[in-house]
Amino acid sequence: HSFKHQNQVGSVTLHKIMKGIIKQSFSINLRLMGAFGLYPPETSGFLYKVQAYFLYSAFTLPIPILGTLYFILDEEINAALDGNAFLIVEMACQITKLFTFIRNGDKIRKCIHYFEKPFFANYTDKQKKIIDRCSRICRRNSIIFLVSIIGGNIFWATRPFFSKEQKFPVDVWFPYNPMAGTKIFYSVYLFLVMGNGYSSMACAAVDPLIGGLACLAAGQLEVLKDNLQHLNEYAGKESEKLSRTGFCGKIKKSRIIYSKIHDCIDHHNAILKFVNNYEECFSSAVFSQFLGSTLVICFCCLQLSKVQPMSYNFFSMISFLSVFLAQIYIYCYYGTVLFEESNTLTNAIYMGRWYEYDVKSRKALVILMERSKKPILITAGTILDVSVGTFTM
Amino acid sequence: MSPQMMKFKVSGLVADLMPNIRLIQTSGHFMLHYHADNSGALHTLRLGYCCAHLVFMLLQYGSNFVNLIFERGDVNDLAANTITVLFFTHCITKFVYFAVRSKLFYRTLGIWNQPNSHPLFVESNNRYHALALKKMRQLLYIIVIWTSFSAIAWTSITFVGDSVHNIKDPDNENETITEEIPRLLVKGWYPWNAMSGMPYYITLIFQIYYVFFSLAHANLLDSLFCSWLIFACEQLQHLKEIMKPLMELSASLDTYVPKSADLFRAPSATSQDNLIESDYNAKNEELKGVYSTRQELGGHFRGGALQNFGGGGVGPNGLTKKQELMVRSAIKYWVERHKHVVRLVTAIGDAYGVALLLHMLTSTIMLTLLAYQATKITGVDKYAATVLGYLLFALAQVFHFCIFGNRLIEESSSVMEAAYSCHWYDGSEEAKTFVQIVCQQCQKAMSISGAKFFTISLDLFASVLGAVVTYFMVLVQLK
Repeated sequence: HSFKHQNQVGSVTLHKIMKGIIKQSFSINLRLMGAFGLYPPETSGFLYKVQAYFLYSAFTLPIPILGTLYFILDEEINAALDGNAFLIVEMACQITKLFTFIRNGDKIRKCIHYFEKPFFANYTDKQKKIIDRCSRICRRNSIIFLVSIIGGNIFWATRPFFSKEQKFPVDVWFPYNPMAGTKIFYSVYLFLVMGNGYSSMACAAVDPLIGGLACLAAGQLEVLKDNLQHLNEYAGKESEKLSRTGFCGKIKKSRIIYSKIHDCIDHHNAILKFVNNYEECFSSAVFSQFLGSTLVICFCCLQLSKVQPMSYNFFSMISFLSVFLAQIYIYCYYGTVLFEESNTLTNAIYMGRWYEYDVKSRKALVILMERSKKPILITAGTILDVSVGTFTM
Repeated sequence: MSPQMMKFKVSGLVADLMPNIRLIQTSGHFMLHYHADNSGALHTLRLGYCCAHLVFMLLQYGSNFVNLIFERGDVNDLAANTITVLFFTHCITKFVYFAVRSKLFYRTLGIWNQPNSHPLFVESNNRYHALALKKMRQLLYIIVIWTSFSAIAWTSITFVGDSVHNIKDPDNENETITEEIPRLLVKGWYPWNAMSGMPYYITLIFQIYYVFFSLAHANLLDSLFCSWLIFACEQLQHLKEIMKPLMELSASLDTYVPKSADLFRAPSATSQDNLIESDYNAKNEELKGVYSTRQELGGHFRGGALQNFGGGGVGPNGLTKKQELMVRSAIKYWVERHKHVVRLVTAIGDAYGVALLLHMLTSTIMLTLLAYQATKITGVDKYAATVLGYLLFALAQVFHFCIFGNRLIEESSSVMEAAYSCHWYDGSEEAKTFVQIVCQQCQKAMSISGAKFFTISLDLFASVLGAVVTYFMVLVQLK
């Protein structure tokens, strides 16, 4: 259609604005992940992969393995469960989670930058507000998460200093006696703190990123809904513009409406493709997080029932519990947001003035509505739905 | 009458729900709109009235809570006091929730201020409106009677039986003795000695006021929510009813194949009977006027039946220009009215969803504890009566809004069946695509959700009831 050309002219200027959206929303996350070797740069060489694997094996693997060894070799199981189990389980689930990032780095990178394609660059000022709101939410979430995880780490690392005897924040098995000298003691302590810090900071970067991508997709759906609801007005504005520029040949409004529906369907398809990509990349990470979190929450609650209320231990357990709950809540909440937005697509079409369109456009809309009947449901490992219902369960 | 006192006009939902609104305002909720005279002095007075209620409620609630902390030694007392505290948490939550989110409530009440109308469907609209009004009044009576009955029952049961509690014997650590406590409706801690005399009577009256007004706060808001749902359901019934005449209005004659004998019969009133059901005609006098124009154009009808569009003013669907305009305007009325109902339901969900979520959270914990208390019932005495009373009241509250939420779901999903069961195959192409889009939209039923965590329906009530019975059975076995 010849009047499509008019659209392209307008969209070139918006092109530059679009590229910044990912940087705008996720700058903190991506920088942190890059430092930890979880986010490959544009041209990642072999050296980068080596560095990533080294960091991963140095910090993520040892602590859970040593902790499990301690648990197995120690005679008293009950004492071993005390205070350690939840941390060991949490770090164990990080193993699988962070491994996906290192192995599929390139695919994940493509997924993250999906929304920078020029296709998504076509929107009005009102819709820009929606997208800006989404990126603000992503940034806010990342900051809150980072701050609380740093606080939690400091809490946890300084906890042994409050107890009477000299011990580590988490009991692990060593082939030699680490209490032998102050230098060895402190170097082991430092190693434990660094290991825990690596995996928890990686978490703090990754979790808001996964949630934020779902939020951006939901924002795109909102833009699509806005387009569908106001098809009439936007088509009217365009036909006005065309008749003003003296475009020869009277283009009927119905043809404009039909071509707009065409664009909306392309947009819908692009969003659906993104969600497929997203699920492929992150499904296993989210699944391992769910598994780990369920066990961790059980252990935390067990601890809570044994500890004196209103003591330091009690408050620290409560704060750990809330951090772990918040971790899976961020996935579930944005999964539900995506689900709800896709469910209300039909509503948005219905709320427009569809009874004034011609029969051809109406039939196209019906097919769109038929597709949107199947809502967008993200699954974790194809077993669990990522939604608030799973969270309450 | 002073010239300043303008006539205070209310319309839409506010006019229908005026008794509810007045009761809510009397009970002290922060509903400060909808008064004829809203000048500065009266406004401050009303605000002061509401704040006074809030302060009294919070004081008594605080006293309950303090008593809970003091009596936490004994497990039985702890359980009983926790149940009381949770029970009144509902009421405080609803009170504070309304004060904080009153804007959303005003918006929902104002949504139906300018409904559209169409001359053909006015009668049906009025009939269902009157039906909704009747049901809303009935609900209000039932709620008021139930609340008063509960408050009176609570007060009277206080004066039955002993007013004691068990504390540890100061002489012998292992035994408990009974000590007398004031005979009041709820156990509370007071800085004065409320055993007898003047302080006792004042405390008693204060507690009667507290119980009655708390119950009223919670129940009146719930009944406001349910009245909204009743209204939405009746509007959906109205839309379902007018679907059939709408399709018949647009019945095109190139799809209507007449019997060959009809082609040669002179136009008469009886030949139109194939299109209209006789009982419908009895209901709607206005439509007769429309159909009579068809009668006048009987000659054109013949032309249309034989696919002859040469005749003046007959469009591609076999309808005259006037009829097409009429059909289009009727479709527009139907769709806009349906959209209005969807907007109303969304506003109701936004306004009350979080309150329902909080209600269900407190209810779940309270019902679990009540199941535990119920296992300790030994006979028909005051204890059994109070436990059963709490249980029935809590379940009735949940049932109250579940049943109306369920009705909304059923009504909205049956719109599609109504669209299918009308003679859509007789309609024009435009009317058929209209039915298609309506069916697509109505496949997903409109429902109220508790802030997206769960849907308000009878399934929810059944699961709550099932959970209580399960806990009770398990605890009885464990005893």
